[in-house]
Amino acid sequence: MSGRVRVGTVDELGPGERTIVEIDGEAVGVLNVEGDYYAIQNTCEHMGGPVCSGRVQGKLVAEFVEPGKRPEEDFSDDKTIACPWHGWEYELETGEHIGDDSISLETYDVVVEDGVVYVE
Amino acid sequence: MTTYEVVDADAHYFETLDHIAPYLDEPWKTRLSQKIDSPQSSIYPTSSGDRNVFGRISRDELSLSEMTPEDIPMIMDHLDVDKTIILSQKMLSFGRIKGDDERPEILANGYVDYMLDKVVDPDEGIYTMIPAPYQDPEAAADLIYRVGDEDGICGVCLVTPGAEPPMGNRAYDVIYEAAEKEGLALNFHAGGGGLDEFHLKGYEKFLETHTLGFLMNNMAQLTSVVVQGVPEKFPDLEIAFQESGIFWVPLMMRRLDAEYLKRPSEAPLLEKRPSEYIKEFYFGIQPLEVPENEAELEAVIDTIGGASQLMYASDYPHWDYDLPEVISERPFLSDDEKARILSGTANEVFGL
Repeated sequence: MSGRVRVGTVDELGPGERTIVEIDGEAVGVLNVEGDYYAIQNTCEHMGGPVCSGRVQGKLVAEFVEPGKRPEEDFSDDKTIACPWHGWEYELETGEHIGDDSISLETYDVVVEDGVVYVE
Repeated sequence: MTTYEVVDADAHYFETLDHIAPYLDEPWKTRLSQKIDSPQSSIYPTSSGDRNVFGRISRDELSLSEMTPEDIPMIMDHLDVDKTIILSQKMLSFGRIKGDDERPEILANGYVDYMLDKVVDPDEGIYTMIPAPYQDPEAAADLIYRVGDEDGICGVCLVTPGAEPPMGNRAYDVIYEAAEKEGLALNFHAGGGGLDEFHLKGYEKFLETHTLGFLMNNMAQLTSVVVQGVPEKFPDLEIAFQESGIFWVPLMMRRLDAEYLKRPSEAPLLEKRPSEYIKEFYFGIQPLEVPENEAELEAVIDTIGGASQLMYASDYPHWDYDLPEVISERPFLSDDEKARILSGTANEVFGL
């Protein structure tokens, strides 16, 4: 596929905002997360839920430090989005399900030119 | 001097069931007249109750109240097995011991020393496992380090009923660390002791409590061990489960996967689906479910990961023991697969 789809102006997609565009007949969510743009398939691989209306947050990671100690849990810098229907959770950058990377959503490049956001 | 009439308001008579039986109507008259294995408690419908169905099941070749070292070769001959892993009977009820963390430690240490002194004989194919006194994980680890390299000690056995918190909890890490360092497999073993207290209330027959109890305890520990990431924490640890048949395993694989994909942030140590870890576990086949349609069993074995993950186990002399024929007579298994299940897996996992 070539070409790009216009999403809107930078002002229209400020930090924390998101919108849905259509690419080749597929709904794609475009999100501005703390100034970083992501574009990702909106249809959940599980049961077709609207992933891109879901919660965005850091990926929960844990490190096993030593036997007998509680694994140290924290949110990483990698952002995820969780489908609001059943919680299937994907990395925004790669589209991969955080529990099984054989499951993934399509992701797209986002470019900004002259104050306008495009999905490629 | 005053004399008093004295009334003892609470003393006890040691009645036996055959004292009572003549006063009862059938079928209880006959039931209670039979020789049953543990008369004081076994008429109650618990999973550790009447195992011989009111005298219907017997082991005439053996005294069920006590075994001697000389019984073992006779049993091996009876089952037609070349090697055997003998596990403690008393250990199976460790789940009944709650706050007392001394007794299991004492019993486990004494059991291991007795078995090494009198029973275990690798040259004759006779092995045992360390019954981990999990109520005191440090004591369990000490025992593993003390005897783990003895010839004839082939694994660390954890009984699945009764452990609170369940066995994925970090409290047990020291046991798993010790087993991994000693190169001993972990053998999770279902049992009756303790399960009636926290799983099952109100069942009326042993058939009910045994069907559910042994199964649910293995399910409980497998779930905890996988979700809490024990295989990720201790990647060199071999993990086996015993004595709930095998049909439960695909159920847990599919159910855990479905839950995990919806809640992956609750199992952040996992690098893959729960079923992928379970396919690396090993399962004793007893008591093997053999359906009329053998294709069902074939599909279950395939789902679990094939013959490489399964091992024959008799559970002798318990009431529901299996002979090696449950494997050798399966029409869909190849000769290689039968050999693997009958001996190859256990030889490899337990280093026999």
